Amino acid sequence: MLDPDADDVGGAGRGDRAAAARLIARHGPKLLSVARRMLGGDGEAEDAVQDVFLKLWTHAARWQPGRAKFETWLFRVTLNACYDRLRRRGMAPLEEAAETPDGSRPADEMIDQAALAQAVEAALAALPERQRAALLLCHFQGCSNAQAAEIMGLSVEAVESLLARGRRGLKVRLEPYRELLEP
Amino acid sequence: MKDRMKQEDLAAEAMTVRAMAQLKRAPLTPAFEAVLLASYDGWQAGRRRGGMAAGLAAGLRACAATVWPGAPTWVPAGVFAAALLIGVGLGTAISGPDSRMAYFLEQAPSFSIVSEEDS
Repeated sequence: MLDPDADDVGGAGRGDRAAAARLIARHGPKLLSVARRMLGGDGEAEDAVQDVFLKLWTHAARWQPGRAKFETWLFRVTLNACYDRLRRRGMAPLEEAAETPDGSRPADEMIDQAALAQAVEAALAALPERQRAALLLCHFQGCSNAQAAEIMGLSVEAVESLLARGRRGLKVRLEPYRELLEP
Repeated sequence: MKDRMKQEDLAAEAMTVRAMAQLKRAPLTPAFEAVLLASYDGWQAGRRRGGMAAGLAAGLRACAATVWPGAPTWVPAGVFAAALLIGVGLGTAISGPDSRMAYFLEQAPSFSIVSEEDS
């Protein structure tokens, strides 16, 4: 199957600025969304995405289509950049630093969509980083379990296990908002 | 027991799908997009500089291989530098200020090509 990014990656590697701009427009928002949720902040997420694109430019010149899907490689580099930053952060892991929803909050309280979205963000941020990554890849970016496994360098079974634990964790944390999340 | 766990997993999955649908996909700000494009321009400029330096180094290597085939580049370069130093050193030591010869076009030559017999 032809990689939809192959032409632009090759073009960027040969010095085609327009091809580079297209890659930024196509992948930048997705990578930033993942990095933002992995790192829990805009500034650090932008730094991580900038690192990813710098790697992309150097990689583009040597890119060989057909070896791996470009987007898979891109997500893998993004996740690794986020893991590195989380590791460097070390002393204050996001799982502890994140604000978790208050379990005593009454579910029938009027909460608007923005507040619900914030609660989901907080619940997601409170999950361990690999569960968070698996959920983001499969439930936010629309990756298949196999693609997420390739990105994360894990077996499909391991990703399924991370997904199952992540979903359960998210459900527990979002219990006060259950009514709002019901169809 | 297994069925109950499966039910719970299905409920968790359904809730996750609905919860994740709440997350927003923010577009890149024009400023950040410009930063990313600038990083591309910087990489391109660095590559061009690197390309020129690589070209110069390749030329020097080819030249060295012609002068001294099979030897590493530093050998002919070192011999050339040593020869240049010795030459400059000897030249400075042997020639004093008096031994310099100067020719001035605006002065008449102090010698003649006409032999004394001819004159």
